[in-house]
Amino acid sequence: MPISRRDALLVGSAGLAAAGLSGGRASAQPAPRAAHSVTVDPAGDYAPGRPGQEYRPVVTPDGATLPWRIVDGVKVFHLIAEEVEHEFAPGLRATTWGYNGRTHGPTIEAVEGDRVRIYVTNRLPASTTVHWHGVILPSGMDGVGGLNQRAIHPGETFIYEWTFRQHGTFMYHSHHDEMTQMAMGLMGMMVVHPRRPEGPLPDRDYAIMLSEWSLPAGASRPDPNAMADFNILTMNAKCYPGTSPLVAAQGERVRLRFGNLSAMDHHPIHLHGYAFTITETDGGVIPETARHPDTTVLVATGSTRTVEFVADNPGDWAMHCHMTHHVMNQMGHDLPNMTGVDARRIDRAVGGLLPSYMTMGHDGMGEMGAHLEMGHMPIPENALPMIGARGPRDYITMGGMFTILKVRPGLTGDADPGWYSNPEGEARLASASELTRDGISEG
Amino acid sequence: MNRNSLSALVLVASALAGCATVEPASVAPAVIAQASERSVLDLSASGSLETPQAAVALAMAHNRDIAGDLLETGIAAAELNSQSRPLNPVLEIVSLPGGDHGRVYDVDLRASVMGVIATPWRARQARAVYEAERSDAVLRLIDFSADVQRAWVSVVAAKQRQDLYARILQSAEAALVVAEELDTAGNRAPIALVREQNMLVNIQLEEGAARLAAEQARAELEQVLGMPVALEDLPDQLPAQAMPAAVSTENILEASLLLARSRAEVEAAARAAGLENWASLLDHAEIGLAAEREDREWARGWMAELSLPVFDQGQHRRAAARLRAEQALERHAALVTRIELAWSTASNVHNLASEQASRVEQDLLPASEAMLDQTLLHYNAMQVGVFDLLAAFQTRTRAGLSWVDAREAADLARISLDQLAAGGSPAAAGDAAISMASQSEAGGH
Repeated sequence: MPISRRDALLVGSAGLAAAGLSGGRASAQPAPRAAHSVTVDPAGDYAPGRPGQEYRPVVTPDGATLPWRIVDGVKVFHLIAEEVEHEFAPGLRATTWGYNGRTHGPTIEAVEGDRVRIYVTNRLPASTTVHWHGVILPSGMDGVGGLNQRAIHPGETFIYEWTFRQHGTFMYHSHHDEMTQMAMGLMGMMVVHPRRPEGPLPDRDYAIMLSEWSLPAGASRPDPNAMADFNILTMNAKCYPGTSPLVAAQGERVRLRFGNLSAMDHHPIHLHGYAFTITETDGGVIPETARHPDTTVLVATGSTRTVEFVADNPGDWAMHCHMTHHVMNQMGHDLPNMTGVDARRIDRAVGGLLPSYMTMGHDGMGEMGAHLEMGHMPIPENALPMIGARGPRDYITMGGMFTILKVRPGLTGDADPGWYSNPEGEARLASASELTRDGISEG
Repeated sequence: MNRNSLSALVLVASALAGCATVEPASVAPAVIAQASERSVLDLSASGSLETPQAAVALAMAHNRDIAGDLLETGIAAAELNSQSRPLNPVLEIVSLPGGDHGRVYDVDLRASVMGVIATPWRARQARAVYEAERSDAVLRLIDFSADVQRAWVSVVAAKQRQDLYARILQSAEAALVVAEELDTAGNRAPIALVREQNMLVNIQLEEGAARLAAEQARAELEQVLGMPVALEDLPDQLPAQAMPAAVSTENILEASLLLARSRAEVEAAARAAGLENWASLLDHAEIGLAAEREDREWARGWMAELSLPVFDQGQHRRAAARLRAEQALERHAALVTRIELAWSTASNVHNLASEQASRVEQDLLPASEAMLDQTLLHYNAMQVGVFDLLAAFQTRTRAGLSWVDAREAADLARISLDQLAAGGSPAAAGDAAISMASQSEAGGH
């Protein structure tokens, strides 16, 4: 990997400060402005970064990484915008829009200093563009339809080309008829690794795109017109129980990169069992002096957040958006509040007309998923209302933007290690002797 | 009067008196048989309330008005028998004191010339009246049969509406229970409960109106049946009815009893106009025998008496007779028009109402059923609440009301068509068809 003399000067310095001093000029790109996270001279020419050499590849759970090839020192990618048959979770499918056969699009991975050429072929029935969210690049490559370029018409292929002058976690998404096209799924993560990383590399590096959908129970195409009532909240376009668990061996350094391109919502992502450090935004690396420990990171829409921690606490740990309606699947939000009503009286009154009627919600929604799981309450085809999943000890009453971090001693590979056995014990029913011993009255 | 003359007079009178007679008691059963044949109904069968046709038989057994109407035909038969004989001769005897020669007697035996000569014509007229009365009786039976069927259809439809409204009321009561529970639990503002209470009252009023309509329909059926009727004795829903037979307008005109009578009246009026040419001249003409006893001696002779057309030559009566003939023709033409209009109206109403009923059966009912099913699925999936579920239930039930409205209109129109095809009155059939059409337009009951 060729490194310029200027690189040598920059290594070990704070990237932000150094970036502002650079005066070099990349081919086909104006003099780099102050990129926010640089580890090498932004004006330098660098060989394309290679996985396993310049970076440890990021993992996109339930997703993929966009393949590339090198042509004359340029990393060439090809994004194909097209309609996709997507499964959010078992039992819930939809016709969405995505890239390269998946929703969301595959993660684009590069290294700071890489020259990239990205072809975008439009196989959609509508025109589109691609905006490279958070990337410092020439104006003509920014992808805002009508402003920076004309829209890519159906059947056309456009070329975007620039050199990454920064590293960090970014996103890409349609910037033509955004309301429709992002609601339909046209987005993906983009990770640019530092050419000269500081500190140890993470052992596990996960990229997670947060998004929200309006998909009425029984429907099979997201509704772009929705403005408030989103009922499918996803991580990498999967809602629990469709989300695959994140895994880590005990003691491994874990990096989680969150991006949020939800139409109308921010997501406070909470990780159980750990305090992490928020290390980056899509604006760049957060200076260490500004970092603080936290258990919840608020990922505002249109932004990315990267957190890091050492997985030193084995177990099965929930990780989810802490907006409680965001961990519900296809819950109707215009229902009467049945909490606390006399269900028997209502059952008698309504059951006289509709024998299969059963009052629901009078003692909360917790039993809903289990009821549906038992199959004695038929629901619309292609629907995932209030459904969580059967856990190792009971029914997990969460859905939506929920996944599980599984930390195990000595874990190798990415396979799901199964449920944790809680060797140190777990919450259980108190015995009578224990209640007596500690003077606890249940009355 | 010599013996031969007297014998001839008696012979002629006897011959004229010997015309065929009609047994009055046999007329009513014949009328029933004729009406049965025309309306394809067994009016003498044992009746029930299971079908409109069976209700007609029941009405025949219980309705005293119709029994009284049938006796009218017997009366007409007796009148026919009476009119078929010559007018009896008049015997006039005058006895006066004759002084020394004893009493004077003046004996006249005379008979009305027209009373004798016109006996066949009068008999024909009487037969025409009898036939008309008999035809009227058949017509009344056919119309009565249609009225009974209409009353039956209306009451069954009203009963069905009452049941459906009871279901709607039940769902509104269930909604109020939910609202009360939500209110008790403190889950909603009090206005929500008040809203449900108001909705319940409105539906209670609708249900009350349906019960009132059912009661009125039941009372009307009682009237035509002539016997008490309980709603429980009637079917819960309108039965499937066969489509009316394809009949042309020409067939309807041919079958019409009113039109046949009108034709007869035209012919009778024409005959009367012709007869009037003579009758007006022989307004009063009598011939007879005269005997007078005076001085203990009988003197015999004959007599003739007639009015002299000095001041009135009968031209006014003849003019009136011609006008009556013309009037009968005009009325006949008007009747033809009324029948044609009644038939086309009933046909159109039947076609439209049947189409409407089919659409309700094939589209609306399955759609509302599917809507309820889907709402239940979405309720199970907690996408909609219990009020939405009850609303879907009400929508399905109201689709049932639409079905009843359409079916009732179609059934009533079909009855009108059958009535006309059997020769029934166009007024009743047409009015019923128009009435149902306007009711359907106004949303039924």
